[in-house]
Amino acid sequence: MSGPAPALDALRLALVGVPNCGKTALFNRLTGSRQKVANYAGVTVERKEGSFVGPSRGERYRLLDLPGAYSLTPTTLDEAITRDCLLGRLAGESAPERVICVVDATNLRLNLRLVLELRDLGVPMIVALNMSDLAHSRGFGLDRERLERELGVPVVETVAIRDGGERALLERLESLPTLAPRPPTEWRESSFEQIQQTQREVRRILHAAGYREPARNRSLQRVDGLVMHPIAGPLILAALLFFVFQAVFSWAAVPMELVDAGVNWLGAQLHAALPSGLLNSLLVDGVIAGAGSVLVFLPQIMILFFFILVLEDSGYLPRAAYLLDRMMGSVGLSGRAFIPLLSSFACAVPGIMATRTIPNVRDRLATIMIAPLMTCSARLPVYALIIAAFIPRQRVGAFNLQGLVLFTLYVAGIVSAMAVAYALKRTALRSTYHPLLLELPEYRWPDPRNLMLGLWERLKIFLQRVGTIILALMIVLWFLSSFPAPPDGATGPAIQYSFAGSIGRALEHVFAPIGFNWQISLALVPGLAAREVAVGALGTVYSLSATGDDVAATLVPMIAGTWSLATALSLLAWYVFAPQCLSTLVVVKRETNSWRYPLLMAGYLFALAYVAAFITYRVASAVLS
Amino acid sequence: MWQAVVVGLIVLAAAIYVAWALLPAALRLRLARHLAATARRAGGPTWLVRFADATEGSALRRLGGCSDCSAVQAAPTPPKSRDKT
Amino acid sequence: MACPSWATLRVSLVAYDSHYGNTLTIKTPYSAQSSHSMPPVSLSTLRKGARGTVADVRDDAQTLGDEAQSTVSRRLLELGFIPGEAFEVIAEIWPGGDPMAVRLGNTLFALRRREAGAVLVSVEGG
Repeated sequence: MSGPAPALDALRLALVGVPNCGKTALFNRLTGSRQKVANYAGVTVERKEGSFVGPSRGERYRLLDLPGAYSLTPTTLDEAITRDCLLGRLAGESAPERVICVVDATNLRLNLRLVLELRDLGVPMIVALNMSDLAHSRGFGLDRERLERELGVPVVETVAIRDGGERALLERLESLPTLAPRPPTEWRESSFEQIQQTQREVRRILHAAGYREPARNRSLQRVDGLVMHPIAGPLILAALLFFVFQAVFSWAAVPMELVDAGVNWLGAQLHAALPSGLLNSLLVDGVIAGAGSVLVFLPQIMILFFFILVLEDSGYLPRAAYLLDRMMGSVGLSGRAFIPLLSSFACAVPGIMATRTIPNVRDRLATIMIAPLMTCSARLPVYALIIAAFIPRQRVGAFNLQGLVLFTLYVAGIVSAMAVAYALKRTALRSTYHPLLLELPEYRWPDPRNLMLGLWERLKIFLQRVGTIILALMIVLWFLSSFPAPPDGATGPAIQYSFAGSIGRALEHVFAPIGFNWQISLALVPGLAAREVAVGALGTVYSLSATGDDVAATLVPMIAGTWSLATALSLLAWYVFAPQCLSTLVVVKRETNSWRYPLLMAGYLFALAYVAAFITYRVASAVLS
Repeated sequence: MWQAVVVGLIVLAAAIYVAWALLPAALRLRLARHLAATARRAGGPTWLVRFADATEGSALRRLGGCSDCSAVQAAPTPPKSRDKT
Repeated sequence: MACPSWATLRVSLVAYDSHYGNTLTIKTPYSAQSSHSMPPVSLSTLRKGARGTVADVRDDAQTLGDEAQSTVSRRLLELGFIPGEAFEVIAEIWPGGDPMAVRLGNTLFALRRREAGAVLVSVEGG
């Protein structure tokens, strides 16, 4: 097994709370990098566990971050897991010895009911008043000691996003006596009358503890007035997305040139330093040209993730879901589907996993089926490459033409996703009405530390991906493209006679009608493992095709010179739809527990891709000639 | 000549890695377990055993099917609950 | 453009207005008697700008999802739509005003008219 096993005597704790209370930030604060993510046995619900050591006595604790839940009566699988874990009913998990109930100090009325529900069940707990710094600065009043007396459980203040903000919690935890293990708790659904009773008790307790709420923040209200306005709202959303794509191109231009220059320099150095031969070719044509071509797109991907993280942290996304609910509803989805779909912009895999928050099975399935159409970040290198080669870098009015085209491609992905959802909901996945009941949290300035951590994680993952699977694929591709060596007296680049060349030529028959030459056809194959690899593959293939000493020729001018515009557009159309990602299919299989859906998904996506590329190619060829 | 050997080794390593990465998760896990068990039984050199164990650990972790996101940095859950998935 | 209209002075005996300067107190539960003489209406009939207090939540047995144990009404209660709680409709989507955004106490919720149909409210003002 990997990693040291946690000490058997480590205390088992669990974090519980309603969504948006800052639970995850507290989890990160307590456990740092000592986290492990897996799944609960037999279900596709994420299980996050971490560990930490008490500051004064050095006691070890294991901490489980349970999914957010508004109540112990579940509406989603996530909430069911939380309830079952707390009650000790979960197979393979014993109940946590103590529960840390995280509440948002700026919204106690919403948060405290769950605390009472748990307290009344006899779950041993300690309440963490999170965001207490925000509460103080905004003018909330509360007598913490009085609240503790009223509740009958320990209450501490925490500030999950600040260094040392967990101190009070840790100190209190250590001072509490250890408990005997509990048998599974009895639980029955509360009646409506009981819920109202609990709510009245919440308000009584808050009143007794001197809870005071300040007047609402006028400026944030005004912001919401605009952001959620029926006309201004959608316009702002569109403008925001548009801005993001513009930024992805314009901000990345300089860093990309730097990376590109660096990669080329390295390639030239290696080529000159090593004696010419196999190793030289492997390193220069395989590794540098291959993996290097993908590395060049790092700045763009980082910028995209930056915006995604900011939007996630800021509290804007649920408002976007509210704005889009009508549009989603017109194709039979709920606005809630927007948030997982937006995650798909980064990578379809977490987007598909995020569909667990959609209670209705058919809605969830429909959202899963269209998630790959939301342009994932791995398509970005392919789009960017073709745009860089074929779209002139000029301005149209105030906008960058390249950014405009990229925006159009993303819109095409979204529009096609909606069309497919519509078709699905009308036919196979018809479902009854699905309610919408969404909390819109307060706006928050994204925490710079979290942002940096998130970006750093993304950077590491990207580099890891390039350094392992992409590199390995490029090496294998190089091999296939270099052997067998051309017979004596052969003309033309050596690659044409290799395995890869033969494969490419065979595939070309399939793809010629849509305008793909054999290089593209070949590059699509390793592209199945990871979309960006197609770029690397093109890099290697063209590098090996370069006859003579023009190794320094980079990919962009190469394809600009040899492809027709119609081919380029056709490839773009292909990429909007094609399911070029085995990982996505695997995750769909896991989430739906059957191979039927991923195969269906792959089938319909390939078909769409082929048709779209075909139409694009034929129309473009006719128009442009 | 040495060039050919070096290149050959690199290519072989890459090919094995690609095959490994693209195997279906369950198959990969079984293979890794088998490998680890064999290494331990054969009493091979410690580095081999450690390598086999590490491979098994990494196979357990990569059950996510996608190397691209943090959800994959998974801990191996105890074998008894693993059998349900 | 979207600021609440202050033209009509909202007077009410419900103690959520700022009698006390910048701070508001939560009124104690059993003093939540409104003086409105109008019968309670469904939240789904209200447009942007309407304010008042919740009177009741009907159980219309509308389920929230396939986990089926929870209904919309139950979840509404759990979220705080209990008698006496102040609300304000702060936004709606055009055309048709569906879905709507309602502030309940200190929390903003988005819900469709159909879900809002389960909530009976007393509207303040004329």
